[in-house]
Amino acid sequence: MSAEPGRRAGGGNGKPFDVVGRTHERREARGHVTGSTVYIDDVSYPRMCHMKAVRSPVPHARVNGIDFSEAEKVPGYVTGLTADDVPKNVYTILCLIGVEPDEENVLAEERVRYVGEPIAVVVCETEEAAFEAAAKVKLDLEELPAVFDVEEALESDAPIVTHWGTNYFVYEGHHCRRVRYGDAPAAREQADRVISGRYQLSPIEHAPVEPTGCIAKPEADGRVTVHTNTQAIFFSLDNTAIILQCPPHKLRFVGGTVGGGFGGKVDVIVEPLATLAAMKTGRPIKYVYTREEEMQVSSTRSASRLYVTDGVNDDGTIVSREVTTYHDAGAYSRHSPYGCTKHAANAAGPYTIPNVSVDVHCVYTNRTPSSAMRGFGVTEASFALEMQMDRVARELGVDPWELRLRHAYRNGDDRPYRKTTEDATLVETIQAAAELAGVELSAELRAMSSDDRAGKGVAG
Amino acid sequence: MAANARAISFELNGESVAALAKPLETLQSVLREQLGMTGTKAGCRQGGCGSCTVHVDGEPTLSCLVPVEHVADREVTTIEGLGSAEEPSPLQAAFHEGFATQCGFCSPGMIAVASALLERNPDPTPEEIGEALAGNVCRCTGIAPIIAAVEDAAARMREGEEVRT
Amino acid sequence: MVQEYVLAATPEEAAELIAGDPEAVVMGGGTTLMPKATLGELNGRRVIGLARAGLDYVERNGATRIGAMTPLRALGEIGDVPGLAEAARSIGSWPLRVSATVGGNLLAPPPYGDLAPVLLALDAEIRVAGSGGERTAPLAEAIEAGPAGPGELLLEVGIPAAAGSVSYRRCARRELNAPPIVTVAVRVWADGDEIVEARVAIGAVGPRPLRVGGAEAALSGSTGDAGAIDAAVAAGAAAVEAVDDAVASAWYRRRMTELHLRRAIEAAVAAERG
Repeated sequence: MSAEPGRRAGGGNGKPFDVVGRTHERREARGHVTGSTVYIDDVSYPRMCHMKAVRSPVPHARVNGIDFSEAEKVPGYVTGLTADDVPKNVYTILCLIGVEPDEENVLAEERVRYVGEPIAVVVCETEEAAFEAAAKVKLDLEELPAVFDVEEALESDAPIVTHWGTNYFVYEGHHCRRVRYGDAPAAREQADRVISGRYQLSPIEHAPVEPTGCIAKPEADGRVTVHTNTQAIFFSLDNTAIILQCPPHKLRFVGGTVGGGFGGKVDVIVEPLATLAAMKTGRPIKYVYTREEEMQVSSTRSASRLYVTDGVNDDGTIVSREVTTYHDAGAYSRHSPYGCTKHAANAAGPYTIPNVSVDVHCVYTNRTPSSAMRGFGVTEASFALEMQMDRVARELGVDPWELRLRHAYRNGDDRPYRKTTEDATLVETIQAAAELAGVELSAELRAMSSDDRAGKGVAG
Repeated sequence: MAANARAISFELNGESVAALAKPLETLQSVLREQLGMTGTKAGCRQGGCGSCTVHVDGEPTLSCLVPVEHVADREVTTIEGLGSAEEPSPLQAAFHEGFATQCGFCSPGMIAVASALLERNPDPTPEEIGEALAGNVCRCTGIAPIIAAVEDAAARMREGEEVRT
Repeated sequence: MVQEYVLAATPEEAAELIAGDPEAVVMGGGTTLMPKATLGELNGRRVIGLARAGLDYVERNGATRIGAMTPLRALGEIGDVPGLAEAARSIGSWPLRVSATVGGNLLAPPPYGDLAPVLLALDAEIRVAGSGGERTAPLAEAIEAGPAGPGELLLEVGIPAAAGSVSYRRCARRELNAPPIVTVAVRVWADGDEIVEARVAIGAVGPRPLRVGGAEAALSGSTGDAGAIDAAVAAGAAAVEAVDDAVASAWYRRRMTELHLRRAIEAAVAAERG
């Protein structure tokens, strides 16, 4: 195929590109379409055992006892593991880059905080024995009051989910992540009108067609090979080494084709338990989620609730923007504190507004922990703010394309977190989108550019 | 192996095979665990995702819902029987070249249903393709490249017919 | 693991096996039971299978008699029983319909069971084998308690030659391969301008599918005018006990019931007028 003509038809040495601008075969696709690509569940070893988890059936409870006596009678039962068996029973995915807090156990100790939280695992010679044994483990749980809504979780009488006494993450001593630029409340008071909106997102489950899983295989030299469909193989390896208190060089992690991740396979917490069981039993251990576990237990993109209040003048200028976000982290932090920080930076949108105030609360509830998914932290802001811009345009009677083009950030503009905008292309992107959508922009709007800070004009 | 397992014989991709099946063991399970046919996937084991789709007597069938007993003496075709890397079928070539496969996990099931469709309807509309593939979940491509690949394969097959006749 | 899977060779043998072992699990096409077997929920149970019991047939003879093990795929090809193929083709997907059966669909737990409204609208009857022998009953009478109970075998669905036009509507979150929020089937037949009789059946929204006598009475004897339709829709809305579940809230189900009932009635009346 020949290269498509473009602004630059070749490299600096004048030769035409032979990779850029051409279609190339995706080598792995050959295996995908013939069914020969190997996914972790396609791997099998002699004497392999199967691991299944015993999970909390309730959203919040004290764990008073775990009884394996009926489970042990299932033919093919090999062993069971609880918190006591885990050398360092703390799962903190980003601990290696110093991100706290340590709050989540690999297997629950005193308390469970969401439906599906793992309390124990069983290992059996067949998968069906493992299902049966897991069902026969008896749990002595004392149910506790639970909270499921982000704003209810912040009320004074809410049941407390965390171990540090508040249902919010503490950002350097503060109860939320904050951005302050100019004086938004004062500017709002002076504005001609105030336009507000409340925006709500439900949690979204990645639902990859391939469920999460791994196989841990002990090697003759004392190492363990782990086949895993994690998206984050070095996180998984290093976290496993920390949890098992073993030197990282003892572990050989083999990744490969992930059957859909989208951020849902970065919090993979199956490898430490499978590896531990492999070390304990000397046998290969397969641990793969059922579809129900993939839906209920694996992390989601968070539910979020945003309140956006804009001070707007009748000439079409947004003079202030205040955003309060409640981000539902679920029962544990995972990537949420980081996601909220990203969100705070982007919460005013890609628009230049002279007065901005943002409060982002990272809130804990007794729901499945939320975590990474495709631009998490920012996607929620995009949704809410674009709805808000349409609302402002409707109330003012202004064209929504025009409203955005006038407010789009330009090179040299301050961002609310005090960085200077560089390499902006939003204006040009909106113009290109209008053309693709068959929307006719006025000459003035078509003349705008990211380099032209003065040319914002006002609504006519 | 359990005492109440039975040997079930059937034809797999043109060859006679036998599997030892426990009562109500699924066709999916014996294909993957005993017969080495791991191209047929296990995405949900509830009949909801379509990644386990195979042909039974030429009909697209969810192998996770079929007891092995039910395929005794019948013909089963898996993705391995629908083409190979050396000789890809028009559908496999179209999926490959049209970027209709990303993570690849849904692809065997998609190709199984699409090939059954094209045997019955050599010139399907996008709506007919979408309806045929309604039981196959793809979380990566957004389905449009897959529908385009099926149309492309149909065209290649019609062209191949014209050349031959 | 399942203890034993016994495949009956004839309808009589199936009826005998089932009557003789009310503790046994009865499996038709397997679409609801196989996932349970895979997860170990049928461990130690005896399962009686109907796949080879000779219950897969469609007989046309004025009336249409459909064996309980007929796959939905085959129903989707019956072109001249109004509404039937459309309802069958709205269920699941092509590969699912190769395994799923008429009987299984009639016995599926709510909100599933999308054939029932159309069958109710067509005045279908069921034939059941039990300890007292075989019995035939209108589906409308059997639907409340369930077409077949423990120890009984659903043999066949019979659909009399139907007059009139049928409109079938299914509301779900996705157009295909998603559980229903509400299903509606309406049949009307007219003599000139006057609607002689009507059948109105609603499924998925409440615990059981039902016919709405009040809606049928409002339409019968009317000209299918706006007033009659309003009264029928109101009767339908009042008759359903909407449930809250993961598929939809009761509020949304009630709203969709009214919307789709109205559209189905209007479509059936328009079709009958030709």
